[in-house]
Amino acid sequence: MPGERTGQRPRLRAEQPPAQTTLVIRGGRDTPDKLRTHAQRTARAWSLDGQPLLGISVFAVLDIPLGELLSRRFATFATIYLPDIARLRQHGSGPAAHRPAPALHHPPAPRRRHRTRRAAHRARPRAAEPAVR
Amino acid sequence: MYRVDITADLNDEDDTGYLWTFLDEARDPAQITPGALIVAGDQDAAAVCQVIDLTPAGDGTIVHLRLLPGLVDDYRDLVQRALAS
Repeated sequence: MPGERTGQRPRLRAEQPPAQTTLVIRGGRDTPDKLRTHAQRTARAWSLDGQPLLGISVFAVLDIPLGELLSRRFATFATIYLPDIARLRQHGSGPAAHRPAPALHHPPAPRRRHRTRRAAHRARPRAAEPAVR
Repeated sequence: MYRVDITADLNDEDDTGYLWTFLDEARDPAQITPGALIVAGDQDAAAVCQVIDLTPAGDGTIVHLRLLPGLVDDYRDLVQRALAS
């Protein structure tokens, strides 16, 4: 039996993260098709101000060393993307910060959806550290 | 390349702290029951997970998954050791 989309407005933080110093982390490998699927899945489940919310999940390090997070939570991924907030904003993405995994969200305009995918696709890929695997 | 039981973005966690995806993304939804051990993710990134619960949400049913430690390959090795005669 279907339910309601979960509204994300109460979960958003008012403050903006520092642009240059805040890393966000996403495990991949991502492709445009995968990101489209993930964003559509989010829109099925979540809403923002009554509208389906297109979003892609990323992590931000708050209270755990980056290396520990990578080895514990991201060991499954062959590729890890580590863009900073400023880089995401260059492509029109905005973080909807909530714990434990912030989501990158956009208004549901087609042009911005395209930018979302490209932003994530261009994020710098890094192979998982050998110690992780 | 992995063949998963249910497609999921392994980055997706909600405020429960668990991974989530939709039940209709399972190859066989009948396998997705609370407590079941399954493989979630996609052909490039997959992980062994335990099904926590199923909850109506959005236009379907959301499945919450606990991400179990280790790689899928680790579990294969574990099972092979356990079943070796």
